Amino acid sequence: MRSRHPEIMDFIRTAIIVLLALLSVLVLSACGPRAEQSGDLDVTILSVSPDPAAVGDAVITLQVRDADGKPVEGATIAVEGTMTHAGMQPVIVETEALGEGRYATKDFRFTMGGDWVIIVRATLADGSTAEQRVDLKGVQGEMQMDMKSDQDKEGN
Amino acid sequence: MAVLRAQKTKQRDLLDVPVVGRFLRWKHARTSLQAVLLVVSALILYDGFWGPQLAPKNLAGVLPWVHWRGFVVLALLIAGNIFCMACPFMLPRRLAKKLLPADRRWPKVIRNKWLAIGVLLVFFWAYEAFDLWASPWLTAWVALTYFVAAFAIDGIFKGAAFCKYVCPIGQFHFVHGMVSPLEVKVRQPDLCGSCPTKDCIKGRYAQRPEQDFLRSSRETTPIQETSSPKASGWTAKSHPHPGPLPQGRGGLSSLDQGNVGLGKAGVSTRENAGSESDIRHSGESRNPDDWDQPWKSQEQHPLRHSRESSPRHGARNPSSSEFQPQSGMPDIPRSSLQPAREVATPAGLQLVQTGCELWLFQERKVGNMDCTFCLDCIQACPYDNVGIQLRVPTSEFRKLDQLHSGVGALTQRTDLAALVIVLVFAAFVNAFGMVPPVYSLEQWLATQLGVTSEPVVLGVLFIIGLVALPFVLVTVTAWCSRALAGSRETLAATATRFSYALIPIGFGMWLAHYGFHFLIGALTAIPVAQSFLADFGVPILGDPRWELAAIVPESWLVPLELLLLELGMLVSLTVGYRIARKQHSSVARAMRALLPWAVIIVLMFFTGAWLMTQPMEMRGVILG
Ligand code: SF4
Ligand code: SF4
Ligand SMILES: [Cu+2]
Repeated sequence: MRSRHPEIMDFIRTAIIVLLALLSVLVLSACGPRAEQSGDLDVTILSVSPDPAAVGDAVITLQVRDADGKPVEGATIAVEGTMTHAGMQPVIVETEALGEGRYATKDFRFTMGGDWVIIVRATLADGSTAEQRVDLKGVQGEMQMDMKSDQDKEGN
Repeated sequence: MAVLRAQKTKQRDLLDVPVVGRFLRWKHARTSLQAVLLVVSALILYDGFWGPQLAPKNLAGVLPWVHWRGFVVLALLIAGNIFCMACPFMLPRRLAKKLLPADRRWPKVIRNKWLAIGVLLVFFWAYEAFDLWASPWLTAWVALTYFVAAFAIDGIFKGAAFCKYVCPIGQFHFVHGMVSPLEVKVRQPDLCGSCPTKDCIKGRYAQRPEQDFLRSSRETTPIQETSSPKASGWTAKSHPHPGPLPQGRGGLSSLDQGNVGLGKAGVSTRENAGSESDIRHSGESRNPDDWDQPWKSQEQHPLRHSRESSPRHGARNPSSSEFQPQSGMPDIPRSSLQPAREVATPAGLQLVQTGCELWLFQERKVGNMDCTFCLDCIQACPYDNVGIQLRVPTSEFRKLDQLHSGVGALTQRTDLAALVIVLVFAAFVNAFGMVPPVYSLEQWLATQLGVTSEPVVLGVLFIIGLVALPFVLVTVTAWCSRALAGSRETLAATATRFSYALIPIGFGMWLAHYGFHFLIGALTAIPVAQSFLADFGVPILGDPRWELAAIVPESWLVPLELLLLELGMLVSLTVGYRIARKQHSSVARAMRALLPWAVIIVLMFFTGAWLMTQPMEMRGVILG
C-alpha cells in the first residue's frame, strides 16, 4: 500500500504534520493567553537615582499597593530590570522595605542605555505571589552622559 | 551492462559520517527536521499572538532574534545552509503543491534577485522602523506572512520559485553559503556524463500501479508506449558544442531564466523539473528556452545506456524535455508548447522523488548559490552519486566565471552582485542600529528633513545606507580599480566581479553581531520555556530562572567579535586577490586592481570594529 501510492502517503503525512501544528496553535490559544501580569498589585516607580536614570549603579524606589490602594507591607520583593530586546542579561536584585509600602532596590545597576522594563515580583505576607511591570524608558547611555558632562564643563 | 554506482572517493562526505550520514540519507530526513521546526514555529506563533508582549519573556522574542539568527550564522560558518534544509515554511508549501495548480512559470522579468533584494530592503527597514525585535506580536505576523507567502507563491508557480526568487532568508543563506565548508556536489563527475536519466534534476519516476484518485481526472496521456525510450525512437537533439562561453552573453540567459547554466552538458531543466506538481503536470512545462540546450557530444547522449542500467528502479521517465522525438511527434515549434505536454506525461509512470526544484543540475552545479540543501537530488540520484562534501570554504569564489547550473556565471549576474552588496552593507547598518550614534544621526536627519515620523527617517537612512552609499562606493572603487589596472572591462563588470570579495567581511560582521546576541543570550530560552509551561499549569521545568542568559563570560565577547571580523577581512582580501589574479596574469596589475577594493575592505573592518566597541543601547522610539 505504502509503496504503491507514495504520493498519497506523502500527501497524507504532510497534511497530518501541518494539521497537528495548526491544531497545537488552536489548542494553546483555547487555553487562553499567557498571563501578562499576575496578582492585583499596583506598582509605581517613586524615584530613580540618579535622576535622570543613567548607566551605572542606581536605586529604584517603588510604591507597592494592593487592589484596594492600601500600601503592601511585609512583602518580599524582587526587582528584575530587563531590556525590551530579548537575550540580554537581566539585572535581578532584592529590595529593602522603607515602610508604607515603599521599597528600594539593593545593588541595582543599569547595564546599558535605552528602554528598560522593571519587573516587580512580590511574595506577599500570606505567601501569595504577584508580578507587575513598569516601563522605564530612556535610561541614558554613556554617550549622552559624556555629552552632558561636556556641556556642564562648558557651562562652568 | 555494468551497474553504475558511485565509488567511494577520497572526498570527505557528510553522508559517509556514521550516524549523521544515515540520517541524511533517510527518505524522511528533511521532513523530520522540518516537522521539529514547524512545531517550534507553532509555539512562536502562539506565544507571539497571545503571549506576554515583552520580548525577553516571550518565545517569539527570544527564539527568532537570539537563537535562530545566531544558529543560522554559526551553521553557515561550520557547515552550510542547514536552515533551508530544515525550513518549516516548506512543509505547508508541500501541501500547496498538491492542492493548488502550481503550474505557472515565474514571470521572466523577475527571474532574478531584484525582487528578493526589494523584500530584503523592506525587511531590514521594518525591523528597525517597527522594532520587530521588541514586538513578539509583529514577529509572529512576520512568521505567519512567511508561511502564507511560501504557500501561495509555490501554489501558483512551478518549482521552488519562492526560495529562489523571493525568500530573503534564502538569499542570505545562498550568499553566505559561498563561504561554507559543505557543498551538495556530485561525487564522481564522469558518472553523470553517462547517466541516462538525470533524475537529480528531473525527478525519479516509477511505474504507476493503477489509476489513482489524485490525478485521474486531470491528465492526458495519449501516448502509451513511450515508457521505453528506445521503443519510441527518441533521440537527443544534437547540437554542436558551443565552445567556451562568450563573456558577454552567457550570463544574460542565466539572468532571465532560472534554468540556464546547464550550458555545455545541457540537460535542459524543465522549468518545473521534478517539481512536485509534476505529479499532475508532468512535462507540460517544456520550456521553449530549453530547446537551445545542446548536448556536449553524442557520447554524452543520455540514451547511451539503456534504462536497465538504473539499479534502483526499472521504469524511467522517457519524456525529459531534452529529447526531441524522432518519430511519433512532430518537431515542436517554439511557439506551441501544447504537444509537449501530451508526450511528456507517460502513462503508468509517476513521480516518486522530485528532482532539484531550484533548477540546479548536479552535473553542472557549481557552489552553493541557490542550493537549499533540500537533499532531493541525493534522494533522486539512482547511482548514489550526490553527496554533501567537505570543501575548502570560499573555494567557489575561484569559479566566478564558470557557468553555474541554474545560476549562470556569477560575473555576469549584476542582480546577484547587488544582492551581495546589500547584504554586506546591511551587516553594518543592522549593527549600527544598536549603538547610540544612530540615535544622534536620526535626530539630526529628522531635523534636516523636518519630519518627525520615525519610519520615514529610517526609510531615508536605509536608502542612503543600503542603496545610495553602497552604489557610490562600489562604483568609485570599481572605477579606480579599472583605471589602476588598465582594465578594459566595463565598469559594471568590474564592480560585479569584485563584489563577491566583500562577502566574507560582511559575513564576519553578521557572525560577530548575531554570534554576540546568541552567546550573550543563549540561555534565556530556558526561563522563557519554563514560564511558558508554568503558565499552562505544567511547571515541569520548575520556576523560571530569569538570571540565566550568557553562555560565555562577557569579557570574551568583544575579542571574539573582533576575531571574526578580522578573519572576514583576511578572507575578503584573499578572495579579492584571487579574483584580481584571475583577471590579470601579472601580479603587479592584479595588485593595482585589488588596491581600491582592499581599501574598502579594510575600511569596513574598522567600521565594524568601531561599532563593536560602542556601548550598546536599545531604544524603541528615538524621535520625539
Ligand atoms: S529559501 Fe526556501 S527553504 Fe530557504 S528559508 Fe526560504 S523558504 Fe525556506
Ligand atoms: S535538489 Fe537542488 S537545492 Fe536541493 S540539495 Fe540538491 S542541488 Fe541543492
Ligand atoms: Cu543587535
